[in-house]
Amino acid sequence: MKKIIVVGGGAAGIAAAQGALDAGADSVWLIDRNKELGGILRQCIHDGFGLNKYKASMTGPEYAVRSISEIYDNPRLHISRSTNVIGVKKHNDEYQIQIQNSEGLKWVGANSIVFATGCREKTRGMLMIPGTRPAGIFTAGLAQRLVNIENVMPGKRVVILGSGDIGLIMARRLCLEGAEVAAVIEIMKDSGGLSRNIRQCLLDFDIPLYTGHTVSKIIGRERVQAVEICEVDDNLSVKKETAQIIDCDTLILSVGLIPENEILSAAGAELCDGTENVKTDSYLQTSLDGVFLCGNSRYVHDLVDRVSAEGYAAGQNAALFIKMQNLIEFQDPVTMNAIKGIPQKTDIFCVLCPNGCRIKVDVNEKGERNISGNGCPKGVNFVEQESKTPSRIVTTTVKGESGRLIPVKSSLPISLDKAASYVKECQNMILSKNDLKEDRRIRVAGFPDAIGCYD
Amino acid sequence: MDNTYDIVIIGGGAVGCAIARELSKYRLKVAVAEKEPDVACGTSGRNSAVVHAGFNNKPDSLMAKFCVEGNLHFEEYCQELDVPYFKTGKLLVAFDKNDLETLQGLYRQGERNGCKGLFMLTAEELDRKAPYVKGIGAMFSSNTAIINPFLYTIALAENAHENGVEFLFNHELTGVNKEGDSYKLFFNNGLKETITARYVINSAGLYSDKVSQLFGINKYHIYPCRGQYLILDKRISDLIDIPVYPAPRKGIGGLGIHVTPTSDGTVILGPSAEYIDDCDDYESTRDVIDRLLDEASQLIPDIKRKYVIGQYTGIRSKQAPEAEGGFRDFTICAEEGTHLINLIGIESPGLTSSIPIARHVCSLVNQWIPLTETGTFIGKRKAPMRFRDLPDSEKERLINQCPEYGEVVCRCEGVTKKEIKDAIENPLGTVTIAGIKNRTRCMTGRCQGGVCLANLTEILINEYGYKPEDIVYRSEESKYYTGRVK
Repeated sequence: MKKIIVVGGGAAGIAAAQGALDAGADSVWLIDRNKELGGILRQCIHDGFGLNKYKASMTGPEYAVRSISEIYDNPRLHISRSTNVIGVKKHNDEYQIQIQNSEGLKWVGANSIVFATGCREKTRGMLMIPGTRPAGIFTAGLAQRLVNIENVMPGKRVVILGSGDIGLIMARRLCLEGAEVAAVIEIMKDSGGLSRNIRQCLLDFDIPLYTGHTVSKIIGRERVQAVEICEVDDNLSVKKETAQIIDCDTLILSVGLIPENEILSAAGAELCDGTENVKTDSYLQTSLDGVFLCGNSRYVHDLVDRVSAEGYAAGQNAALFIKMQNLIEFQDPVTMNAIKGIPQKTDIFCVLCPNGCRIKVDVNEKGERNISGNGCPKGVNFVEQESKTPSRIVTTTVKGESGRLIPVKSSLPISLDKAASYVKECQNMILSKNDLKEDRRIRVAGFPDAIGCYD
Repeated sequence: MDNTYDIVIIGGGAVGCAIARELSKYRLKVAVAEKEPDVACGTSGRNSAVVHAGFNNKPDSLMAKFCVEGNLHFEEYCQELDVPYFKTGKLLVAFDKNDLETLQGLYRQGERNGCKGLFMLTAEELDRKAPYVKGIGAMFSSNTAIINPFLYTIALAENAHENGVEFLFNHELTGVNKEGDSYKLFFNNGLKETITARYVINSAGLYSDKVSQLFGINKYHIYPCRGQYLILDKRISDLIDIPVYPAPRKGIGGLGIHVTPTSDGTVILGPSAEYIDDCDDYESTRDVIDRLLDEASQLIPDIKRKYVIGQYTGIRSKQAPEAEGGFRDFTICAEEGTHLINLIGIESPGLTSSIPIARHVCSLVNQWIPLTETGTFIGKRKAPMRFRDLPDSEKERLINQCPEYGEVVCRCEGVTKKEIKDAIENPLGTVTIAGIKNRTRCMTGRCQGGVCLANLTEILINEYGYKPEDIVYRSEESKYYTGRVK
């Protein structure tokens, strides 16, 4: 029996397993290093995933649980969690993969491999930010995991460097959990984050955004006490004379992601010229025959739905490869058409889905309103609502009896000025087993129900 | 509790710990008082991690004597202490005729100091040895080695502790009262406790002048001289397998910016030499970072900005100010009319010299208290397993024995859960994130803790019952978290 191994059980890996199974693979082995499948989706408790794939706006955990449930019971699938892939080598006409877990260290064979190992975050060290090296500096994804999974609060007054989407999402998240976000600092002249995220993560919470600035120094010997920020010139060099100090106890870095493919490159996969990215052909195959690559370990994607689509295609091709059938070409989608950058004051950005339509409202001489720019009818309602009581779907976590955090989202949009008290209400709840109902609804006193996400 | 000690050593650096270990061979009650929560928090852990050969030091100096002696025996020390040691050798590269003359001078000085293994290389020989360096000639020192100074200092401390030395962490000496033949020592650890010491050894590094002042001896002054380093990713370590230094230029108060592989597979470049006012000012600065990269890439053109994964800073405790060129020999003496041994200005090559210095200090102690061996001293130490360095068969055996060896906590450096637990349960009883990092290399790889800090946090909270707000980076003041979210 020919075997496919999928390395990495995040969105891409789950989809790859599904693609391989659907294409008729006899045996698919999905290996993940974490205790639970889902990868980074587990900590992305915010809403807005799945519009392409599931035609619904879901939180990261919901998306993960749903994708896993689609393959979980398949008898041709074997899942190994808490298992690390250490190395890969070619042995005769099959591949050998070295895995390490609490049961041992061994080499296992596979006829085809799909790598779906995700990406990692750029660090303070890579940016070479001068200053001290105190406690209180975190990358955004790490902070996200700490807050949403480990139930640990990184700090009380936060500065975020980088206005990419993860930085924006964390600004809102920390704000809702009671931290003060003193500033978001962006070195470029405009933000690279989605306009709808700037709307709903920064503007909604009056968090100042400094574009054309960077953190020029970290201050504080034991714990961060402040950061120095400076304007930058056209070469992105610091203009020392513009230095100003912002007091804070935490610096969060959201300064970019790097595809993680050390194992693959160590195994000899060719890299794209001048980068650390692994080269793939139009079938998502690397320079190693039968070894495929997908998701954020191929390049950093802006939508998880696209990661899933690509993972599915890679898995499918792995199955076709071992059956010696023709592979199917994969076309990378064009860059997302969602609007990025800082919204104009007069802009209304619909936040109902990741498309984030920029909606224009013109009033003619007769006082009639003409609404344009909305991609779907929901946009009209959004404008109505936004002009009366801006409301948002609020996501947070609730503590379960075991101490574990359960991601929840409000079943209905909540008016913005009440979002913080909704989250606070959730902060004080402890969810017992009896509260876990079939419909996943959790009563939140004085608010719409919360919808919990648990396996 | 009996708070009276025969000897109290102030400072848990490499030298303080080496002295503690040497003294643990004798019938003495010894304690080390360290202001930080762990050993190797100061200069001992913040340097180039090189075991020097001894050609750089003035003939007949203590530096030359102890360095040559330390270098000669360092491999034995490391075997005994079970810490890694790599005899890489070292290159000093000449770029012009003056440099060549300097190197010839160093060669002669080295011979006078008793260094072995020095060779002058032509440009061709240099090219064969290190094709990535473009010089017109070089000196090769075959006995230079690299170590991990944290593991070395921790090993000294743990072995001293196994042989009966007490370690008093978070004990910063703030006052001394002479009481009869002894000293009463006061600390600012908030416990209002005092301890009594018959003799005190001041191995306080950057603060040795201030500690000396507490005993009424005001003649020393330390000039802190900062050195910044950058850490490069392992990707470049395939290329650079030997420490590469430029031929030293006069008056810079250091050995020049050099490029050194580390015993853990990364590469470091630095250090700068900046005289500063504050012994705790470990800040890095943009100008120096740029200069380090500039000078290092002049030395080795393959060094690029994109390889940088981290930075650190150390401070040399110099006895000579910048105006004097920065060089002065170690001061190691029993102060007349006191029960105090002062060690002042222990900078490079202090790490290499640490055990010879400790033996010398013992001979000074012996003039006060005739030393008799306990007969029970065991110098051989067993380090916790370093899983990633083992062959596969051994790894399999260990996982079978203890499944926690199978769980990877830090993927960049291949650190397992068992190793993390060993570090948390270390014999010195100190638990800080920096301590775990220094013992295991968790968080030191290319993700710099992006993944493994959360894993560590989870272990500390779930398996050791820590509250988030009790997890500290280096000291009580460096709390990592403000509490639970809910």
